[in-house]
Amino acid sequence: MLKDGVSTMTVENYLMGSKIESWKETDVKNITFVVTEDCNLVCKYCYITGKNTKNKMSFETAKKAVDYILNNPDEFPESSVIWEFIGGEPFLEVGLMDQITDYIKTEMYRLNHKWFENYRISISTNGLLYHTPEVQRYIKKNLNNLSIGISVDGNKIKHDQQRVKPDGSGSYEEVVKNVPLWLEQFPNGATKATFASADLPYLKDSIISIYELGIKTIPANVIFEEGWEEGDDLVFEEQLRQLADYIIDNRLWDEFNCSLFSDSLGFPLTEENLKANWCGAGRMLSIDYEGNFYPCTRFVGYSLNNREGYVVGNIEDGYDHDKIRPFLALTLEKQSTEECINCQVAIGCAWCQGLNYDDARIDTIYERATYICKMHKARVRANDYYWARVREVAELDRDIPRPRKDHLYFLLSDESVRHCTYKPKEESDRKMSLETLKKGLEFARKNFYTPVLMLPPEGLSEEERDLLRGMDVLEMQSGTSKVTGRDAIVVYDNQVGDFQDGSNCILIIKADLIPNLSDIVKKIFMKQSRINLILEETEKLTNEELSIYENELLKIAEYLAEQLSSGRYLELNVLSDAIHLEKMANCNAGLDSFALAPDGKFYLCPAFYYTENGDAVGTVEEGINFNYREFLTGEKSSLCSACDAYHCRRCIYQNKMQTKEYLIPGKVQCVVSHIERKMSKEYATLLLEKRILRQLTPRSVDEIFPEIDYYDPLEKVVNR
Amino acid sequence: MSCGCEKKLEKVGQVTSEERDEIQRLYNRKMSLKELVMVLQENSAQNSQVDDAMYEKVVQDISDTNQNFQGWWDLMAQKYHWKNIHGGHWRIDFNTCDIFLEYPTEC
Repeated sequence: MLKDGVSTMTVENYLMGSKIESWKETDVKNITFVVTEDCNLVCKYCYITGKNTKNKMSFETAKKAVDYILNNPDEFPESSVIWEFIGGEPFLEVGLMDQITDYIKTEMYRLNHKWFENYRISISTNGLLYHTPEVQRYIKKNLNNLSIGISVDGNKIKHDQQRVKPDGSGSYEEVVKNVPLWLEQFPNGATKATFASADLPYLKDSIISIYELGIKTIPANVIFEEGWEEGDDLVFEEQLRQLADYIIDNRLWDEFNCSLFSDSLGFPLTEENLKANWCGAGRMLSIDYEGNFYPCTRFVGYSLNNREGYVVGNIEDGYDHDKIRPFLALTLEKQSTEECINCQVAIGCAWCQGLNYDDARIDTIYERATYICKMHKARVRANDYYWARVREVAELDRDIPRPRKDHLYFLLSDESVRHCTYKPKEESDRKMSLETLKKGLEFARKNFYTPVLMLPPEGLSEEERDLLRGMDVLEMQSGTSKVTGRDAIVVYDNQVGDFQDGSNCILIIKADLIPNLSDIVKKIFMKQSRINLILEETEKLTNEELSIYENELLKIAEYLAEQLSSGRYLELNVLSDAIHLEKMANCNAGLDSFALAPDGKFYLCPAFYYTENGDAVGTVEEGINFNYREFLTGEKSSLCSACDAYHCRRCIYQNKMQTKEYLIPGKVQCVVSHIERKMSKEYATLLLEKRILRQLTPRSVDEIFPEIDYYDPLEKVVNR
Repeated sequence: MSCGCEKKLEKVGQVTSEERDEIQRLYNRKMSLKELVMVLQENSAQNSQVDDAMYEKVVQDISDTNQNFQGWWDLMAQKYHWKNIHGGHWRIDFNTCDIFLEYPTEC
């Protein structure tokens, strides 16, 4: 029901947390020359464990690689190219790079190659040699198509802890003295900062220190490798929260960026995500000093600890296409565990394909290393805090509002607004204590539940509001309440007038108001654009009332179709949702949502708290202890799994009350849902007649609503 | 020599993405040719594998590309009638396709 609980707050511009732009996001080939395996630093966290002074690329090898690439355009269909030089430290071989670059340019021109108008040279360096005449000469010669990243890893303590010279001394001072020249030549220069266990206490100061150097963009990450200590996630989260406070207190969000915060981080995976693979290994090409091809530099032998280099061709024979096939076929879904696939905050959790290969139990790229799981979750929690705070301070919202699936309903008192068909306890005014609220919010934060505060008539106290600082919450309030909650969803509980402006509301209606339903709905649509309709006590509805309900829905369908044809899109859940759905939506109480009651206990939903002897499923101190999820899923229900009234809430509370089974609905609940299905089809048909169905769906009416001859799926199941 | 006065940037129009692609291609070609000619001149100075024919071709290409580049601006100015003032010149934002007029403010 809360799928539309998306903020309507104005989206303004921000840089912090936005995607860090790179030259050509798509249709670009990355070609990397590993010009040397030598480096003038011995960084402690470096994944390249096989560095050496002897393996250097010759110009002849590079020349053959360039010839192969430029003379086989069918193998490289991308419209643009990034020629990358990497080491070790690539500027140790600046003379060779210069030769190769000249040759690339000359040959692209001589061959009239499409890439001549669409290329970049990219170099990642530790910056120690940046000021030298040879490097400066190279930069000036190639400046227009050149991108250089210098690694400044943080403040002096952090940088010198990891990025050390062979004699063990730190490299910070030598690198930093080259930063002004670098920023003069590359004003938008970004530095990549990497954090391992020992660095975490310096994270906040490190990012600030880099900003103070004038570097405004920091792609940062934690290492993917093993080596995280117990409690590192807590230190990481605290450092990020402190960094968030610094950014917000100094209002830096529109001028600086750091990828540790992200507007797209921490949401469940979509079907599209599962079928994709964000890592470009296999689509990139790395070439080592011997002229061997690799799917990316991380697969070159010097980067691997446990396996040989993953060779996919060479400059003499070209690509071995069979060796590339596993990479092209690889998807997120196929290399992830069930836990990762179902993780509620999976978006933004990354991996390194090369590490996966190096660390897999057998010789495969189809197993994902998950050492960063706790660190990712800590980052998501801190990221949530950042966005909640920036919203409080500047009314800035993420550009990508994707609500989490899991919700925790807080019944702040026995007089809290109700949002469904249950009956609150009469003559009871028990209130949730501040301590319970605090513990409940902490539980929600740690477990990625979005808190939904069910407001009592008097709203929230100052003390309660203070507890919400730095948290993104939803609020529900009664339509008769004079208190205005923060982006509150309004509930009209058998209310027939005095409606409020907003975007999303709940309308609870009992039988005697059904004849007025279309009038009430139209009045609300003067103020709101979506109504979630809840019919009360469906089990008591008579055939006559059901018939009136069907007729009222038809009137509303005609109204919605008229409105859409004049350009106003309105939604009534029981009519418009089914057009978009291809599987059961359901309420999902006990699966995606729970309720925390004033007694400090968790329930499957508020209804179970208000029921006499309703069973709790945990306490705020001990957490949720409910191990019977499979008995709530629609798949296990022989009725619901055979049904295509996908908009149906499938209320487990009503089911339990009427049939004694969570999974099996009573007859009238099914009939009501099928009346709604029938009227949804009428609505879709009206849209088709007005030639506006395509605005909502590419599917035909018959595809969305196949012909059926029953109102109760039990008939279908029994007759099967 | 610059008088040191500040420059102002004013949005005066927008082109289509196809038109943007064309000027971006010409711009990239200009930059690539400029750098290529430096390579050829350097080779010439070092007297190593000088390719005179290629050098001549690149020089001609630079001239043609500059002409096409200017031609694009002339054509677009004629098509869109952008605001212009003495001492000002137009710029394009490749990301947004916006056209800006850059001109010095009074000293």
